[in-house]
Amino acid sequence: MSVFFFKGVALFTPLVLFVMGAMGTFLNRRNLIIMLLCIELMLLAANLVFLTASVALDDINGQLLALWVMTAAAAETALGLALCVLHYRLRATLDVELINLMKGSQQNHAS
Amino acid sequence: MTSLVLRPLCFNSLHKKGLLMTSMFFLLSTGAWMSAALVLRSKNPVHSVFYLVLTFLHASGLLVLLGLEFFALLLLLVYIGALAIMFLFVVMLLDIPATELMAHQRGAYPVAGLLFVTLVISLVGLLWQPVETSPLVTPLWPVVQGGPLGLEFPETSWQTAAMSHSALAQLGVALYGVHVDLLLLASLLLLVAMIGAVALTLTRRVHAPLHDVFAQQSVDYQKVVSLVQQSTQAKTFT
Repeated sequence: MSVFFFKGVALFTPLVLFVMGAMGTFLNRRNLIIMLLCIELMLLAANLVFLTASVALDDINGQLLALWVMTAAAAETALGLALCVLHYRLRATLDVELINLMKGSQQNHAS
Repeated sequence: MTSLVLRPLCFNSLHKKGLLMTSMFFLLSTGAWMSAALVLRSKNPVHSVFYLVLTFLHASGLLVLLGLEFFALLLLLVYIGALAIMFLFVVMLLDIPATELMAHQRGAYPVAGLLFVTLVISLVGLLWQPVETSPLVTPLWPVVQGGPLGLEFPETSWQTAAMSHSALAQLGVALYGVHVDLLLLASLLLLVAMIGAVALTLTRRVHAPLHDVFAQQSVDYQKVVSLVQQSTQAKTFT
């Protein structure tokens, strides 16, 4: 019975984690920090899928790619937090709905 | 169930250990889900960061169950030791008010539907595993399984490496020997990220002296020498 469970369930955990991260990124967007945290969650889920498949298929390349995803996540976090600090200096808020500096006008078009 | 193409996912040790490891797996994955949900639901961003750390802890426990102790330690060290602390610094540096839940969800229902469809397709593909007659069987699977198309498992260097080395040494060979281009690309990515983060957040002082590198490099040294000689002559005359 447990054999039957483990065949799919080991990939089920990162799938749910990924959907939670995607929901937090696209639906539940409140501020930029929360969106970055949710992107971290999605990258963690991708990492778990890579590692599980690597162990399941007896292939070392999955672990290599997981290492690469970790590197990309570190770089993405550094740049995202730098953008957070930069936008906070300009606008004194991190609300996602108020990010409209590239719309050509300094006024708030959201309302 | 014998016609499933997927191998039992590496849980040979789990089958022997039995119920304890199974319950550990379910416990850790449920904990990961719950802390991920709390990342989404908590109002304070500082609490969100702490719940993200909790999610990473559960994920590293899952990796220990998979038998990947190195990656579990790497997750603890890199994610919790570096990334979460960086998040905490930024969250505590900036004054972010606790925002209202469900504030900005308008117009996102197509995205929600797309995500839901993706989830359903993934669930179906996950729980209904491909059999040999399924179109989902890619050419990868028979090679991996070593079976139905008559293909033997390819005699690559991986196999001899797996026989003779531990998993970590094998990863080292793959990282530094076979796929060294990926290593160089990763180092380039880290360099770009570091320089980009510094260049984005760097602010100059208003009256800072501007170093014109081209003007500094293209100074005619003969004029400089003659100027110094004139000044010394002037000093000696006075």
